[in-house]
Formats: sequence, structure tokens, C-alpha cells
Amino acid sequence: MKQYWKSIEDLIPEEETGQEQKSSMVLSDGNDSSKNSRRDFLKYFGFSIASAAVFASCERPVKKAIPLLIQPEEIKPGTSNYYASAFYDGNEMVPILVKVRDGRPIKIEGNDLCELTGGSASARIQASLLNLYDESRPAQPMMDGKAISWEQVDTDMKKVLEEWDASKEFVILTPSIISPSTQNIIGEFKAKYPFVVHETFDAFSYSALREAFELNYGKAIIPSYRFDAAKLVVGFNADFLGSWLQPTAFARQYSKARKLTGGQREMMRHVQFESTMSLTGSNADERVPMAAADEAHYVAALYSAIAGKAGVTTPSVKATEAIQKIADELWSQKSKTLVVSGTNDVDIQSMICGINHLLGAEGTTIRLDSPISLFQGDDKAFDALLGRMEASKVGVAMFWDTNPLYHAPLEGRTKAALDKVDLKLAVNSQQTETAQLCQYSLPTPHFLESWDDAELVTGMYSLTQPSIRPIFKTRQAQENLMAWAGIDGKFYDYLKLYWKENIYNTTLSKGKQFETFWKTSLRDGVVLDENKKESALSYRASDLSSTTGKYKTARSGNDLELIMYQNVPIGDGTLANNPWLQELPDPVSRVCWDNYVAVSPAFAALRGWTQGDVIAVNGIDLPVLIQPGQARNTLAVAVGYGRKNAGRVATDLGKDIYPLVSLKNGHRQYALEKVEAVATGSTYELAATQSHHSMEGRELVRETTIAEYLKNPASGNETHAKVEKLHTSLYSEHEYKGHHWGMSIDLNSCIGCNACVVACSAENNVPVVGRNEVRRSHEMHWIRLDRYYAGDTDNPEVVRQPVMCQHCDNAPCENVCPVAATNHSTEGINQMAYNRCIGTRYCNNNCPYKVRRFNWYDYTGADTIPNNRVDPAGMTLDLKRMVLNPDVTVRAKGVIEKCSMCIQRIQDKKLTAKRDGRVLEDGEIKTACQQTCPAEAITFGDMNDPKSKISVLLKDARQYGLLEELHTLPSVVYLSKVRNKDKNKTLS
Amino acid sequence: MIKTLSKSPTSGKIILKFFLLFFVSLLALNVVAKEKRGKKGEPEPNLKVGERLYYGLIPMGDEAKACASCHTYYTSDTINWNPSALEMAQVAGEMDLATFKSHLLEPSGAMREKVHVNYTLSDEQLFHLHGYLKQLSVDGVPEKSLSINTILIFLFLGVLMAVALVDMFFTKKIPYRVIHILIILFGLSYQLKIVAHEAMDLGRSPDYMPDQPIKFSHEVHAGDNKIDCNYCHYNAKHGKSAGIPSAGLCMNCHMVVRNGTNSGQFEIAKVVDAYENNKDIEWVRIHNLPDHVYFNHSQHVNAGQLDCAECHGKVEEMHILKQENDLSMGWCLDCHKTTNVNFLGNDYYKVYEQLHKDLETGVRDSIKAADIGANDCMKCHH
Repeated sequence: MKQYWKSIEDLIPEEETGQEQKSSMVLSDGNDSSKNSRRDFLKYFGFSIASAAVFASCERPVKKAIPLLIQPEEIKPGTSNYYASAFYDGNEMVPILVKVRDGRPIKIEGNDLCELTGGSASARIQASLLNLYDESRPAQPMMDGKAISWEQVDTDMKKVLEEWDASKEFVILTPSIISPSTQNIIGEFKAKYPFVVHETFDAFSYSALREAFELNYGKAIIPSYRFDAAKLVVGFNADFLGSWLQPTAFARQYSKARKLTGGQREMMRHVQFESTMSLTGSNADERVPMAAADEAHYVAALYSAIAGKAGVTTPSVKATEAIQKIADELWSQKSKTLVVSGTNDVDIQSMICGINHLLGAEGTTIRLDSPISLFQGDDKAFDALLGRMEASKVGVAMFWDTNPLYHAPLEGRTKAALDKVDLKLAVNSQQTETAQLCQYSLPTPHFLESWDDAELVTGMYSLTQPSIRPIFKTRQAQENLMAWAGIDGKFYDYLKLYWKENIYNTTLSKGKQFETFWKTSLRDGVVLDENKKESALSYRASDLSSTTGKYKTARSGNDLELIMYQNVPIGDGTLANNPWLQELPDPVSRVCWDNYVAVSPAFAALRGWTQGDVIAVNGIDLPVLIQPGQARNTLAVAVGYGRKNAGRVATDLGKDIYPLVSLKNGHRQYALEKVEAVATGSTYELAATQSHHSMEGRELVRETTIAEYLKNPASGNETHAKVEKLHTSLYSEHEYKGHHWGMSIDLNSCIGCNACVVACSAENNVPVVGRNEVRRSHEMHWIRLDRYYAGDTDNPEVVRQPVMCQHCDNAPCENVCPVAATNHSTEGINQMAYNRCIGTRYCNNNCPYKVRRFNWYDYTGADTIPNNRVDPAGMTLDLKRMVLNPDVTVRAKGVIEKCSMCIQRIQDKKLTAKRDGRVLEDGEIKTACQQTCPAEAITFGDMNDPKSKISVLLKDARQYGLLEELHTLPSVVYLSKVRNKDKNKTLS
Repeated sequence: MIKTLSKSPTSGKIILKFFLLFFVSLLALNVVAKEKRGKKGEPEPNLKVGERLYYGLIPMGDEAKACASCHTYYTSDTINWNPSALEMAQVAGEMDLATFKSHLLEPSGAMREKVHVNYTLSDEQLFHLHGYLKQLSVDGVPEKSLSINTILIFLFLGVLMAVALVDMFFTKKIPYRVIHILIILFGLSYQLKIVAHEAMDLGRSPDYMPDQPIKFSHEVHAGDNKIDCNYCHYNAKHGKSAGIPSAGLCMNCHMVVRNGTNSGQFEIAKVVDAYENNKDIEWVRIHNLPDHVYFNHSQHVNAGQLDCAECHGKVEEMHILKQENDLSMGWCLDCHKTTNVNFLGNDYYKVYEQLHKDLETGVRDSIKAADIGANDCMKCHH
């Protein structure tokens, strides 16, 4: 068996790393709540119990029950309704369903009618719900810090617009507008006021990708990528499972193409060349560390090799062995391949276009006839805009959900340019750095309070509908424009009319009237008009020879380079003020609540840096994280941190690295070829979940290669058969008369995106504990994604394993609970009765999986004793508590909690079946983690039903139980991982 | 364990009257209308006089009943369909003195014409009474006084034990120590019993019957008029909560029915007012479960086919709704152990193959809710 290691400290003996197990050393913290001694407690206890019982019982809190005056038919107290809507944060657009309970949204699910995402949602989509209840959102229109009314705003703005100085511009700066009706409003506004200019600014730039398509195909588009149509995917610094373009949709396609369940015997192969260990790279079958500065050289070499095979003349670029091999592989698969790069560089993207064209990927894995409307931003246009601002040609700038001051400070240039704009309007739903410079703050509602539509791909429409009345005095940006342009009505009316006039047609509505069509569209959330298609673009030769010629040799030397990337939880930082996202560990490093500088083990050893040392990277102090698999001379820092004005949670959290982003060749560059990094001498303790729950030396994750698997499906999982033979027990086995719930997790599908973690937190009211508590190993997530490395530190293989309560039939926790607070249900669930728990934590100590969580404090305001409370993120505020799921108990201090297999969902679906008097269908019950999983790695069902999916998976040769040798008989099973890798294909 | 002192039992009224007559002269002396004058020289009502008038301590005419005898302070003292004191106060507070006088002395409406007779009130008395009601509408009705019996017994036992202790060591009046010890033992154990019972009952409230903002009678609606429970509480079949009907639902009938047999127009007018003027009706919730308990009505009413009365008692005989059962966990579990499941009538239960075989072969004669896991912890605690 391979030797797996969870973190660099595990591999190097402790003395060598010089790193103390700080987390276990820190015993007291700032909020020491035990001001009273145990003796005092006993003293008070005796008195208080008597007095409380006698006197307090005389008073009963009177609870009011206030019904609605007129009860709409579809709204029933205590019953959830789902409304179709769409998530769009300026990056990804995913159709969603919003679960609304008693008037407040409490959960987001993916919309299963959307064929791209199939009902899945990413961690950020799940968490965006909490931004709705963010108390630091701008609450009302303000002018120079003083509250004003919307009427006043309109009067002021109309005056400004009427008395316009024709030599100046009125700039509306938006993220990519994917809403056709909003485009139309902007159009109308521009028509009324000719001096209005609409510019697009994306928080994270993909403008080189569009420019490359313009060069090679004649139109600045981003095509639809189809990873599911590929047999071989080669990525160059493209984290397409974590952040690149449409990660949720791509993750769905990716895992679909790699599934081995249901008789599939082929799986897509994925090779990744990258500078730091990304989520995508960690899932690759083979991964080659590559300096970011060399990417162009690698791509040029690949282009040259492919061109050679295709008979296209091009300067020959000396390719490394890995590139040569991958070129051979690509050529043998031809059109069933896809090569992508995530770098914002026109040369690289152009050569990628060339490679894909030579391989014939157009039409199969690259769909040019269905370009996506995301990331329309053009950095050159933004550059020009800054120029006009600097020349004082901009009279009014309206920052509509854009925050250029944070996302593109460009060495102070943006700030200086903005200072020259006479009047600035901040039109955001979240606090932003740019808003601090603005005279007017005109807050918009959260997307869950708004109307909107979207056209992701031509003919593929989605609708956003409000699921709660605006909490604050906000107004949609569209309504601002309507009011100022003198368009009557609400945006809703405009939207509906737009749909009636532009989208509705009788073919689409199957002959139905518009009203019916509108209601159906609202209910479904997605509308697909297959008759509307863009014409496919054809390749036109661009001058790739000279481009290739520029990168004949590798550029990286001994210089230290830096790359700035979006990590999975925080992304570009727009949604940073979100406790769920901040608490979510990075899927690779397992660090939360901070960003850090990732350093390769070799370089750290060279410089003598150890984990937690603070180093200054071009003047920005960051703690070191030693990242196996990182290119040797590359430093990597996540963007999205160090917000200056984001709200209570994210302000001054981590360090802002955007100031190092520069505009080069007209595109924002997220890599620096040369940086200075010096140790500052201080240290910083990162809050990481990585060295917790270590389960070493056991076959926790089992894996094999595809060749071995095809020969013997049980390869890599031989231990399972051995363990099965040893079944004997002193205990009598449980008898399950009805259901026996079980779960299967396909490790071959799981990509480790962590969406399940946030979904679980939202569904089960899992507390947010904050950085200090995570440092003390007090994190509360019910599901965690263990990540293990195998092989050498320079380029290790990575495996992941989601671990939650295994619901053992022979549960070690149940036997040791002195009060029977945890016991076995008649349906095989290891139950946890919070109110019975007295907090001995015996169960926690006896659990071999370490999945039980103890409430060291009251994190969510469950009890009324102020001293019990630890609330770093405002989760005890009334507003944030509105997100709590009323069907799940909010746990108080001193009790154990853990995964319940979403018992509330099981009960709910069982009851529905009972009420309907029918058999419960397989697949009807979905746990929160399962429902959101883009990879469809999780299957839940009744193991007593021989026809259920879970029963089929239990017979799979890859199936095994975690630590099954302990004979705990877990109800959660895993399917072993298969790598599409062959010994003679090894690249490095 | 909260029992209210019954405030004004009807039998006590006659005794009260004689008692009052005796006091009248004394009071009258006291209340020689010392008209206080405000700063601006306007007369201020004497609230004490107003209160006494309200309670009939100052007679208002032969055979004339005191205001309080009909317009009581608390509804649940005895069922009393007349508007309560506070409601009178709120109505009167909005009237000027002349309107108030005409309402009181020249009544209109069937009920008032019958009752408001023989009142001889001077303008001055009216002024004080009006002033008192106005003040009451501002101050509100005080909290009901609560039972202190338990506390008294608890304290009495404490004192008894203390005396026993003192006598045992110092005064030694009782020669046999066994008596002291018995007293102390008894006292301690009884106190312990009180504490234990009080502790167990914390958060439980059988027989809870608070005043509601509207004197809604389940007896009139469900009993006399035989309206099905599910007409108003329609959500009981579909959802977790049975639901309190919206004012809109009340108006289905009360659009027409504006005159109640017992309460006249006054109570129904409140519903109409709420409906027409967008005012919330703040009902007092009677059946409360702790936050860590999940209870679903549709499970019991729809799937379990239980009758509402099994948990809520004979609601159709309750003018004032009260909590029939203590809603404790033991009560739930006991019922689950004895209640049969509709095992053959619902296809859902087909999943329990073994139990079906047992039924067929006669190993079991019935399936109880607890047999299919109704008493699993997480069925209700999740």
C-alpha cells in the first residue's frame, strides 16, 4: 500500500519542522467564560434549582400566535415552498430552487430542470443565502453619509441628468450583464441620455480568452465547453472544477465522464499542468508541476508538436517528454479531447485555440454555436475608461455591483482615476471598497429579493424571482434607471413585458397564452428555446507561427514568481462577507479564515521557512503554507481576502493581493514573473483542519488504476473480501423491519469541491465557530473532506474522502453513552438526542472516525446565558438567525452533535408517502450533501430494498467500509478510486 | 401548577352587596367630591371615585348592577360574554363625556337596553367614571394574581422545621426527639416533593387557559354550530402546524353573521375590524412544545387518522379553550405504545414485510406505532 500523508508535518518528523502542535497547546483563549469556579457553581446550583423551580415556574412566557389576515392558498405555516430562481454573482450563473419557510428563504438547491448543472450547486451558491441576512449590507439610500429618501435620490439624479455638461460621460460600470431585459433597460437609458456609456468590468478577468477567440474565430466569444464529451482533458493552470468559468457545470460534466458505475468501462483521462496545487489539479490522473512563466512555452511546445502531426508548418519548439507524450495521446484521441488554459494571456489562449482546432475539438468538446454570456468584460475597454476618468471626462460613474477599487487597484491608478470623477454612485447589495469613495450609496436588494432574468447561452433563459420581501430599504438598479429615464412601473412589469415581446412565442409556449407561459416559466425557472441558435464560427488562421516562435525556450530561471488564484470558498472576494464561506476549509490546504502564501517544500527548505512563518511578498506579509506539488519557484496566494470594507466578517480578514495585479498587454495579469520574498521573523498560526482527525497507516482510501480495474474490479480493494470473511460478533445484530438507510460515496466521482459541507451547514444549522476555535480543533462541520497525499512531496498524488457519521450498526459511541443520548434507531440511524446529552464526550472519544462534534460554546444563540457565547461572525444576531432551519434543533453549549443523515428529510418524505398512501420511492429522499453534489458522488437509500440504487452499489466490487476491519459495520460505504493512468503513460 | 384565585364568583355578589351598603356611608364621606383642579384650572377626575363606581362600591341607582359585574377584568375567571373592563375602557377612552353619557344612560341595542336600566349617575360621577376608564385604557389590566399556596406551604414547612430544630437543641419543650426528627423528615421530603414536581412541570402547562384577545368560543363554533375542526384548522391535514385561521377565513361566515348569540356584536366586530383595517389578531398560543421537539399534525391527523379530541379533549365543550393534556414526552410515548397503525389500509407500510407476515400468520394481532419506530429519539428530536 502507498504511504499516504495528510500534511507536510506528517512526513517530516516533528523536531525537524520545529512546528509545535500549537492547536493542542492553546488551552485558554480571549473569551474565557469560566469566571466562576466549579465550587461556586455547586453553591449556586443547590440554591438556584430550588428557587428556580418554586418561583420561576410561576411565570410562564406568553407566546403569541399571529395568523396572516388573509392566508394565500399556497402558503401553509410550517410547510416549505420552493421557488425557482437563478444565482448570479458576476461569475457563475446557476438556476436554483429557493426553499422558503414561513416567508423566509432557508436553503438553496440547484434547479434539476437545468441540464447543465442538473440540480447541483456549488459551495458558494449554497452559502450565498447567508449574504441575504448579512447585517452589514447597506440598508438605505445615503448621500455623503446621510440617509435620504428614494424620492430625493430621483429628484437629485434627474436634475443631474437634465443639467448635463455634454462634454462629459455618464458611465455605468456593471459586471457582465447576462440579463436581456436589463440590457434593454440600459439601452433605453442610453437612448434617452446619449452621453451615457455602459462599460463591463468583471471582478476576475477572462478578457484574453475572448480576445483569443476574436483573433482565431473572428468574434470575441467564450464558447460552451463540454468536458463530458471528452476522453482526454489537458489543463494548463485552469481550475475548471474550482473557479474557471462555470465550475459547477464543469464538475457535473467531468464526473459524468469519469463514472464507472452502471457498467461504464471507460473513463475520461485528465492531465493537468499547473503551478500550484488546485482543486482541479488534485483530481487529475496525472499532474505536472510547471512554473507559471513556462506555461506559454509548454503550450507552444504542445502546439508545435500537434501542428507537426497535423502537417501545419510552425516553428519547432523543443518539448519536454511530458508534452511530447501528451501530444501523442491527444493526437490519438483527436476530436474527443479538450485543452484549456486558465491564464489571462492572449498568446497562450490563442495557441490553445490552435491546438483545439488542429485536434478538431470544435463541435464536440468546444461548442462555438452556443457561446456563454459570462465574462464579457474587456480589460482594454476598462483601461480606456480609466484614461477618460483621468482626463476628467467622466461626470458620473455608477458602480453597479462592481468594485474596481478592490478588484483592480492597478497600483493606485484606479483610485486616482476615480477621484477625478465628479459624482460617484455605489449601487451594490454588499458593502464595497469603491462605495467608500462614492457620494451616493443606492443599495440594491440581494438576488433573493430581486427580479431578474438571464440568458446564459442564446436561447437558454432563466428567471430570478424574489423569495422574500426586501429586508432593507433597497431598490433594484434597474428601477433606478427606469425612474431616471422616466419609464413607468416596476422592474417586474418591465421584465414581464420584455418577455412577452421578445422571448415568448407560440412554438416555445406550445400554443399557450403568454400568461400561462409566464407562469410556467416562473415555476420552472428555466426556458430553453432550441430554435434560437448562434451560427457556428469557423476557424480562421491567425499568425500562430510567430506567437509560437516567441516561446521557444523556457523562461523560468531561479527567479521567484507569484501567481494569484481564486480559491474555492472565497473566489474573487465578492461574497467574502459570509461566515459559512470563511469557515469552509480550502479543499487543498484545509485552511480557513485566512489566505496564505503557498510555497513548494523544496523552496521552503532552501529558504529555511516553515509553516506559519510570516514572509513579506513584495511588501505584503503572509503566512507560509508548505504546499506539496507546487512548482519549485512559484509562490501562490489566493485573491479575495483582505477586504477593507466588506462588513463585519470579511473586513481585514487575510491579506489583499489584488494590488499586485497589473495590466499588461491590455489584460489583467494574475502572475508576477519576479517577486521579492523575505522572512519577517514573526509567525502566524493558520486555522487549518488538516492535522486533525489523522487516520494513518490504514486503508482508508483505496485506489487502483483503470487497467487493473478492468482486469479485476476489486483490485485495490482486496482487503474488503478478507474482512468480510471475519464477520462474527458477540452482539446480536439489529433487526430492521422496515427501512435500513445507507449511503454510498463514490471516491472516483468526488472532486472535493466542498459544496456538501456548506449544504450540510445550511440544512442542519451547523454552527460557525470562527478562526480561534478552528485553531483549537473545535470546528463543527458534520461532513469533512479528508485529503491525503501519496508519493513524493514535489508532485504527490492526492486522494480525498468525505467523512461524516458512518451510522455503524455496531456503533462504538452508542455503547459508552452513560445516558443513552446516542442510540440506534429502528431504521439503522445512529441517533443523537441533544436534549438528553450531558456532554461527557465519551462517544466522541470512542468514535474511530472522529465525526462527532462537541459544542464547546454556544455559537448560534441557542441558550440565553451570555457567558456561554462565542460568536465571531454574528451568527447569534436575530437577522442571521433567520437562516436557521426550523426543523432542526439549534444545539446549545455542552452537547455532542453529528450527521443525522438529514433525518428531517427522511421523515418528511416518509410522511408524504404515508399521506398519499403509497410506497416510498427509491431516490425520493435526498440528503443535503447528496442533493447539492455536482459530481453525484453520494447515493442515499434503503438498503432493505433490493432494487434501490444503494443496494446495487453495495454489490459493486469497489465497495468497502471505512475501517471495516474494526467491525463497526458502517451504513456508509465507499467505492474505491480509479485513476486513468497506466505505467507506460506516466508523464513525469 | 398555576392556579388562579377565583376573582368574582357570582355567589359572592349578594354578600358583597350587603357589605357594601354598610360601607357606603363611610366611603361617601371620604369621597366628598373634592374636585381637584389641574394647573390650568380644568377639573380632573378622581380616579379612586371612578374605580369605586366601576366596582359598585358607590351605588349608581336602585337595582343597578355594578359595571364590574358584567364587564369583568379577566375573561377566564368565569365565562362572561360581555366586553371586558379593558375593552370598555378602550371604547370609553375614545369617547367624549357626552357620548359616554348617552351610551351609558340611553342605551341602544337589544342587550344594552335590557341591562343598562335604572342607572342614576350624576354628571360628576360620570366624569369620574369616564376618567377612570380612560386611565385604565392607558394602564391596562394588571397581571392576574397568582397562587401562592405552594410557596406558603413550602415556607411553612421551613418554619416548622426551624422551630423543631430550635426546640430539639434549646427550648426542649417536647420531650421525645423522635417527634422533632419526624417533623424534619416529613418537612424535607414534602419540600423535596414540591421542588421535584415544580421542576417536572417547568414548561408544561396542562389546564392552561389564557385570556384571548377575542372571546372566541369553540363551544359555539364546533359544538353548537358543528363546524368541522378541519374547516378552520385545515392545515392540520397537510402540514406540521394545524394553523390558526386567518381573519379572512373567519369572514367567510362573519361577512353575514354579525350578531353572536352570547356576545352580541362586540366580539365579532373585532374580527371585522382586524380584517378591514389590516390589524393583526394576537392570539395567545396555548399548546406550546419546547424548541427541541418536532411535532407534525399531518402525521397524526392524516397518516395516523387520530381524532383531534384524543389530544385536545372535548374542544366543542370549551367556551374558553384550555390545554387538555400535559404534552409531556411520557404522554406521547404511552400513546405510541398503544395506538394501532393502519397497517393494511396504507400502501406505505408495505415496506414492513416481516410484520405483514406476522399479521397474516397471527404472530401479532396488531401493529402499534411504537413497533415501527414511533418511539425512536430522532423521530421527534432532530
